[in-house]
Amino acid sequence: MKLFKLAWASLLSRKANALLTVVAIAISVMLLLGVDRVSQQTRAGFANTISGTDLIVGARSGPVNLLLFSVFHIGYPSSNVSWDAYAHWREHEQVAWSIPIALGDSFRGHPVIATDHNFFDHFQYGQRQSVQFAEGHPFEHSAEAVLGARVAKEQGLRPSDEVVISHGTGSVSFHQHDEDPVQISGVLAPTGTPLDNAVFIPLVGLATMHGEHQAEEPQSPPSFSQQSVPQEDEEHEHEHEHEHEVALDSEQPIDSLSAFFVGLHSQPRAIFMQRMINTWGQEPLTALMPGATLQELWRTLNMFERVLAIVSGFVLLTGLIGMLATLLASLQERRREMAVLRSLGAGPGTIFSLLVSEAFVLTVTGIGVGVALLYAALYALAPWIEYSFGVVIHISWPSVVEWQRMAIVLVAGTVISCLPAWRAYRNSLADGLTIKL
Amino acid sequence: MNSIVVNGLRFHYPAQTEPTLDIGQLEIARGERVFLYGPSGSGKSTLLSVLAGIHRPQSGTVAIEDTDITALTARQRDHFRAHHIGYIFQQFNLLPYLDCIHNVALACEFSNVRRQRLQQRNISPEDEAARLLNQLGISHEMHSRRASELSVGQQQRVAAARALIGSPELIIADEPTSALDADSRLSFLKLLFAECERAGSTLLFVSHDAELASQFDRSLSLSALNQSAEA
Ligand SMILES: Nc1ncnc2c1ncn2[C@@H]1O[C@H](COP(=O)(O)OP(=O)(O)OP(=O)(O)O)[C@@H](O)[C@H]1O
Ligand SMILES: [Mg+2]
Repeated sequence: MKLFKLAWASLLSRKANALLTVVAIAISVMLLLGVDRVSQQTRAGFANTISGTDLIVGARSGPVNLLLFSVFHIGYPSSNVSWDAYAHWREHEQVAWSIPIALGDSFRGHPVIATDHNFFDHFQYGQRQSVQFAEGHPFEHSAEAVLGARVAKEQGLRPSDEVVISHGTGSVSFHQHDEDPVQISGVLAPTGTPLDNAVFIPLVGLATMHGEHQAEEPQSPPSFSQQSVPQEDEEHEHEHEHEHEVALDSEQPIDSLSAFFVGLHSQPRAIFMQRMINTWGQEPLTALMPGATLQELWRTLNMFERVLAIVSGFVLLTGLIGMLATLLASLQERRREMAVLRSLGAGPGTIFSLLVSEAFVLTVTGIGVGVALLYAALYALAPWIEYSFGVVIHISWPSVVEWQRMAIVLVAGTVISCLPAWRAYRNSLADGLTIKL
Repeated sequence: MNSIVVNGLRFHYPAQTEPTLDIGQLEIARGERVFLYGPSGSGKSTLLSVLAGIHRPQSGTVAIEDTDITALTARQRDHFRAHHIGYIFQQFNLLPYLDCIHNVALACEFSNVRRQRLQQRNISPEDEAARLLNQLGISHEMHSRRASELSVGQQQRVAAARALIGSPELIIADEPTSALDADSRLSFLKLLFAECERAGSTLLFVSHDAELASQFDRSLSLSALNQSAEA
């Protein structure tokens, strides 16, 4: 009979104990790998939210705040950028393209972004991927809107459906925009970024909703000239008559913006442009480079990450101590077994390899189960993380660091089992043989 | 030629000061069948485990088959025992998760000497285990039963088979008949004798059962042998 069969029969006779050890190791491995993976994935997800934009410009404020509201739609701009400032920088010779955005409204809890066609033409995320339409097309009129993928899915909306957009960012809106419905012109393909959760309307649409063009700004060029446009729109099979419906080719659709994204002809010039905008005398502005500020943002979250790392270290320690405790307990249980084997001539090598190989097998199984649990948890939690943070968790093979950590657990588990193995041999033979039944 | 030679043996358990064993001289000839008796707690099991090299005496020499085992290291004594001594423990010490056959064959697993003796007869440890078990009245159907599923008397017989396999020179039996009825006891003894004779083994047999003494070549009273205060 092979030693392996002996070890296996012995292990099977202690199923419950072995199972407990495996579970203890599995849970610590899962937490150890999971904590790291989630923070790495979140970091990658953050970095994927914007790409190809060289500068984000807003009113003077902290760059992290500017980044949070312009890219992640978290928080509000403390003040706005005038259209004139936007028009000035848009025409700068270094600027290849620019995207104006105005925030502040919401639709059933989803942030509403007022922008223009530049957004669909130039905005990029991930590895320089452009925004794609799953259905329909960009808005062409003031009373049209484009939905992010998840908004469409959650609200069960399709192009040509009509919705009412409210003012303010709460889910419960206090005053609705005069009950004027907008028609959905298109739905974006999923991006795995906060875009999925957003509703896009034209700047003109926002202005008309807020009544800017009727009363408050009578001198504003678009107001009257565009009032006539809806008449031409009747041929577009619109069932409702949209009083304020205007075309989008206005020179100044709105008075002020929350921020604008800028793409330069030459990316290395970004740092000079940033300084120029920050020191512009006519209006206090803040320009940021998204990559650098994302890193800064991540650094502010670094504390959180470090705490997680410490926690996972302790989790591993606890797991290993648990394993040592189980091994020592099972050794007590196995005193007679070891003594019997020794009395029949089994040497220290045999005793060692029996105990250590069992610990090795239990640790490997524990690691395997732990990794399986981790992937199960990732599959289960990924939608929740995406929902809560707009960040997609990519489920990929274990990284080098993760393999290293598994190796550390394996080595630690095996080394730890040498202690009971050594004790098993140190225990006097008679001690194990005369245990009364 | 002697199988066992003991000289000036003194042994006490670590926690004790008074020696449990104090034996001036003891000789048992090769092939002899010796009956050892004495009251409970007199040190019979202790003496057997000293002879088997499980305990090491504080002074004196113990020669088994002309090897002074007190001069050996613990590891060497483990080897020596595996090769030359078959021990039927009072507590049997079977592995509960192995079946009968493998419990018996296990004695060959760590002893190439026992394996070689079987090889010379062209027989595998498993076949020899089956033969011995059958001899000792463990029928074929029970061979694949786990030791934990046997009666106490059956466990004793499996333990005996494990001691006998591979024909060690010395068989030490610590009350192997305690769980058997009078008839089974005698037939067990006959089978044990037959196997010892076959292999030419010496037999040192401990029992409370004075009736059995007449079956042996010689009876030893530990009380007479042991000069320690306790005995
Ligand atoms: N591990 C031990 N540590 C200390 N003292 C022990 C130990 N084992 C046995 N003793 C003591 O040694 C003495 C002899 O014990 P032993 O087991 O040899 O007796 P025995 O003659 O075999 O008895 P029985 O017939 O009941 O089996 C007893 O007084 C016992 O209390
Ligand atoms: Mg005894």
